[in-house]
Amino acid sequence: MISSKSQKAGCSHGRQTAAGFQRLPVTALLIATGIAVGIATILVGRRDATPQAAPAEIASSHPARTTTQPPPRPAPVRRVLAETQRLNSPETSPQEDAVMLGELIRAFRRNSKGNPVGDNDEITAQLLGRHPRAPAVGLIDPNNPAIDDQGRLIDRWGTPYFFHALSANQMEIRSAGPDRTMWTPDDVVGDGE
Amino acid sequence: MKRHQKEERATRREFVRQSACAALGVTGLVNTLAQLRLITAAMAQSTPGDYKALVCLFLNGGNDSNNLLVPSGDPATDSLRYDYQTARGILALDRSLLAPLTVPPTTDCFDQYHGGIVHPLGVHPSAAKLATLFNSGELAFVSNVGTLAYPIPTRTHYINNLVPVPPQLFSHSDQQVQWQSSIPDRPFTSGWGGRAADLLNSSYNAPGSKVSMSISLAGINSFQIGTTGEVQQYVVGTGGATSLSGYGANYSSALATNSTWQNPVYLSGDAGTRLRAFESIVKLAHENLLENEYNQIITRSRLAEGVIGAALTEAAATGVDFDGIFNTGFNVGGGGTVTSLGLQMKMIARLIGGRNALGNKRQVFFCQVGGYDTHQTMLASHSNLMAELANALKAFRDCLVDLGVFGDVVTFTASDFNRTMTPNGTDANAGSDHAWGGNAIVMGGAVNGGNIYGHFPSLKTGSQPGSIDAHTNRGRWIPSVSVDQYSAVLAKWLGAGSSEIEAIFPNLPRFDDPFTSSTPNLGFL
Repeated sequence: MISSKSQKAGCSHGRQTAAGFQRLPVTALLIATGIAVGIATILVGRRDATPQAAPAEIASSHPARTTTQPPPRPAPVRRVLAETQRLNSPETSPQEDAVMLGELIRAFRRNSKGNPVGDNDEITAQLLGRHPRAPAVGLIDPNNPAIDDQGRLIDRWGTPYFFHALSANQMEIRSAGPDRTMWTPDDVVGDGE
Repeated sequence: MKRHQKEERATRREFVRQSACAALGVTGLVNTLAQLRLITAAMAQSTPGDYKALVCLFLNGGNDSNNLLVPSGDPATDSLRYDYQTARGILALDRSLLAPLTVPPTTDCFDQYHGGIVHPLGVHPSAAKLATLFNSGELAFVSNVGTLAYPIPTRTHYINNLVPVPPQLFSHSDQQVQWQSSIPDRPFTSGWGGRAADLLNSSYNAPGSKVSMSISLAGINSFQIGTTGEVQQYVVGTGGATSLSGYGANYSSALATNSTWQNPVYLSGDAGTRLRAFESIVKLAHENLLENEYNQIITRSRLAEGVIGAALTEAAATGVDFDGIFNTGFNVGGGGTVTSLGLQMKMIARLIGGRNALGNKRQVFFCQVGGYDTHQTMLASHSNLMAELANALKAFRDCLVDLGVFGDVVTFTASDFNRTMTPNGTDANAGSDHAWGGNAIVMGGAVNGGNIYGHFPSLKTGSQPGSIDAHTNRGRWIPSVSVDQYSAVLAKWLGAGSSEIEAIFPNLPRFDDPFTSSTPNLGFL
């Protein structure tokens, strides 16, 4: 019944009836109230934008205050870089592996606002699209043999790569090399610049 | 205390200023700062006669402060030491070698994560001088401070991505910039030291002061970049002002000894002729704005050179033996050398000694030391770094005491981040990797020293009960104190009022107020 009245009021434009004019004060009141609410909303919004924004208001929009449950996350979209399937294969050299990983980092950066962050396991999760702080886009196959059972990218000698975050656009990628010891002369170093 | 209660206490002057701030809020940070500067200058109640200098000491690379401030109890009975040893592994320092701290039983730093139980702590054995300063009440530590966009109440909130965090955590250059800007969740435009200088310069320093309020001993830096152009950072070398090259040391090949910028006396040789020609061009007015700005920079620099020279002369006249103090501090007679950091801090001490010649009542200094990115052989390299840090701070303190201004200077440390609690290897080559919240140092006569502020973190890694580890097992402490809170206390001491604090640190209202709430435990000044 209410919706029916609304529809009628909506159809009365341009041909006001006597009953319509009788409703005019009520309509005007509603419009005035709407304008007042709108102005109040704008003013409150502006107050929020000033440096004096109340901490409580910021906190109220703060997810930490309301829940400890993670938001639902879609399954990663696969956009696997074909080259990564060749990581650690006999067809490639350690230097080429490092170059491929650099390309992987660059591809991530194109989908995101910067490099993946954290330790090897976190960076690998981000490249797989499985990290809560990264786009749900898988750039590498989760079954890639270059990923070990702890979710880390490993070199052809089985040592996890070291990802050295220099900046949002620069990532040094280090393999420990044949001696499996990091920071020795046989290390293989690439970059994701 | 709630914000509205604080505002009720505000004076009419504060009300006017805050009203102006509110009106300016929609115009953006830059305009707000520019207007606040004018308002602050106009409303300065009187010209403060006191001198205050803030010294930012940046530890470049990410200081492993897990081994700066170390649990020293018996692991059989002290759970904190047990957790430290368990997590640190090969990187654990022998507790019998630590320099003991006299931690007051009333300290609040163990309330949040340790149930108020006070655990014995010590300082890295190579930094024993810091323990002496702590125990004499001249130095304090601020525990578990780091970049935050919002408070992170628990580890679960971080792991489940329920709270926005600063972008590019654990990345060197991003975290350096975020520490120095204190606005981690926005693209960099200015440093908090620069914003503070913009607002305070006209209130405290004479109009057209002879030299910038922001002096750097480590080149152009993010910390001192302002937004209004009111204060341009001025870079000084460890030997003093950097002169134009090609005219001999301090223009000795080109100018007579009684020469000044205003009344130059050029020597007759080639260098004198060239400098005469150059300065004639510089003093001309140009239609091109870029040319004019270049000339102004040259002019300012030449004028500042003279002022720096006068300040160093004034410092020498104080009778304080700067060289002797630093040489002793760095054991020069015993085979040591005054390091780059030592030289930077010595020059800052000399400039403070010549503060009358500089003519500023408020000064912000910046110095920096590298080498803290200890991914390998951390124990050996960090030991050297801690020795250098302690030697520099102690010698700097001694100079300031002799100058009689130790109470007027506050020195604080900042660094990219702390490092992982767990090592990245099992032998002496092991190091630690990029982490997050860490321990900072604050030193000065005005510091409520001999205590630890902030909250000493739980040292439990991974998902152990009570853990604040941001990783599954590496020991990356989620900060309990934000850079905003830590820095705001420093800025307030320098002279920033509540309105300026809000302009300098726009994210501060997201966190517990460090001035009215006891929760952050930041009463170090």
